[in-house]
Amino acid sequence: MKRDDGRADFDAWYLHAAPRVLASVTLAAGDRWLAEDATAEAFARALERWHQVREMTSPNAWVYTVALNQVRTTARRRGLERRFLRRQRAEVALPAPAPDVALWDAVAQLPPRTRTVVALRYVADLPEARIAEILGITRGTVASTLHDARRRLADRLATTHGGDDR
Amino acid sequence: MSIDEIDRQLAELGNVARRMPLPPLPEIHRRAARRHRARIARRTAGAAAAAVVVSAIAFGGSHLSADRGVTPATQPAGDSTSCLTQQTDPKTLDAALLRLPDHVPDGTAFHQAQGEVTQKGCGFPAAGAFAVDAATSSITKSITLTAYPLETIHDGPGSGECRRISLPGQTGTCIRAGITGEVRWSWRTSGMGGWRSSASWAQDGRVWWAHAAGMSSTELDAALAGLRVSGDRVVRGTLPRGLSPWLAPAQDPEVHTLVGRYLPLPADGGGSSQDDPAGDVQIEVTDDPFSVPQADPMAMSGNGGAVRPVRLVDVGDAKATWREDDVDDFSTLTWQADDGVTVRVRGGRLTLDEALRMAGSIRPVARDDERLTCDADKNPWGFCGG
Repeated sequence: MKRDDGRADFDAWYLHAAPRVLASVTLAAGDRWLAEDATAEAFARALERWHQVREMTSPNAWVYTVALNQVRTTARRRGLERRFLRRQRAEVALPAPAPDVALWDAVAQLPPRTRTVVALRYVADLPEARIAEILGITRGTVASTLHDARRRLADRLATTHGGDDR
Repeated sequence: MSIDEIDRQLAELGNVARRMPLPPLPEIHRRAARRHRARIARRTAGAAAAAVVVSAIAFGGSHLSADRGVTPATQPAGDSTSCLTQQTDPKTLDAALLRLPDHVPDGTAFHQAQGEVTQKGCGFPAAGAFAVDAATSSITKSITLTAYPLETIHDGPGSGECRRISLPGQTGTCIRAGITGEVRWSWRTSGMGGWRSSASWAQDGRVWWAHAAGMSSTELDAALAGLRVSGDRVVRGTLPRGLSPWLAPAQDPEVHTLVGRYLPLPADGGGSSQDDPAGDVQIEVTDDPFSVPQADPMAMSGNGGAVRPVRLVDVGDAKATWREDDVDDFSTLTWQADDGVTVRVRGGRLTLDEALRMAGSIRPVARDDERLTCDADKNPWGFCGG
């Protein structure tokens, strides 16, 4: 049976894919509000041209690309002063504390490009090749960025928890 | 902590996705419908849209020389319209924005042009005022005023009322002060040896932030005492005397921008040119009437790092500001052309000489110029809108 121009397919895809997109973009952007807006915009664009997007090899990669581009564009447009305010607010806008909050915070402290790679690898659960495609960088750069990030995180968390070690 | 332990924790990082509330699905459908309607409207009402843009440019033009603002009026508080920038085909922009430099920055190649449309609700500055030292051509003093919706954060570091008008992580003091004609709670912060300071207060459903540079606390107090606001706008004639004033237009228009991107050439055969984002150079040509060429870089300078000098330089007959790269942003040359259009040239490793070379070679481009041909497949970041 034909299903309403694919809307049902889209809705199911959104509910399945959007949580990881939103979490990844939030971590990459360091700003929950900016990430929500970018994620909503990316999926709206996907819906608008769903007949094309659903035929793509990886609709997920497409929506990550659009959302991250939207973050970059919006952040650039709003200007530094407004970014400063958001950066302050971002501390309260990230997900509620949980057992892994220390790691989340540590990742959030990484340079923007590094944390974007980490977010796409570990939150979005994308393979390195796909991350390279989304960010327009080589797979080798993705691998070395992840290697560097893991070392930095190990150092940072060792320092953070140094006094608490049992 | 060992790498193995980091790997174990990273493997569980994705669990956070389950705890984040999604934008509701109907909102996605609404956005898609709005985009569809906007695309249809662009096709059928291009002439009308162009008229709006021209009118916005005319209203924003030469605003540096006049203290224009709104007359006092009661306005609804808390505009909830979200800030949104959408890409569009650069060929659909007004002809006044279609300008690109002939000079390609050293070590880069032209990548592509992109159009952007930013809707209202972006927390644009409401007013600014600044002083320039004629002898040194440097900006010595400035104040910028911006209104945001007053959100109930309740976890700022201030006490009482100041919890709503301070931001987490800030250090400051909560005082009672005469602001806009009444005694109000105000959150004050300072930094950079007192050279920069800010004051916030709540009024009519908004939180106002005044960011000052080069002003003593006495001068800031006097400025806020004499200030009057209406809705999210500053009332004409109430900015500090002796400073060059700027006020935002009474209505938020759409802002249109042409962005031209130049990417660094790959250093060798391996790797992508996009591996080096600091080497990007970008030109933005915008009808943004909220752009304050003199006050913007002053307000931004030193936000997260050392205070950087803001120099005034000449671009043709216009005065431009040159703000050196700091921890947060690219170096930027900004000026306003005589028709009110604002131009920014930015780059992480851009030198002033190179920026001026680009500025001096900016020319109008025809709609059929191949640089305006949007190629969505050119790279993953390229979008043509529509």
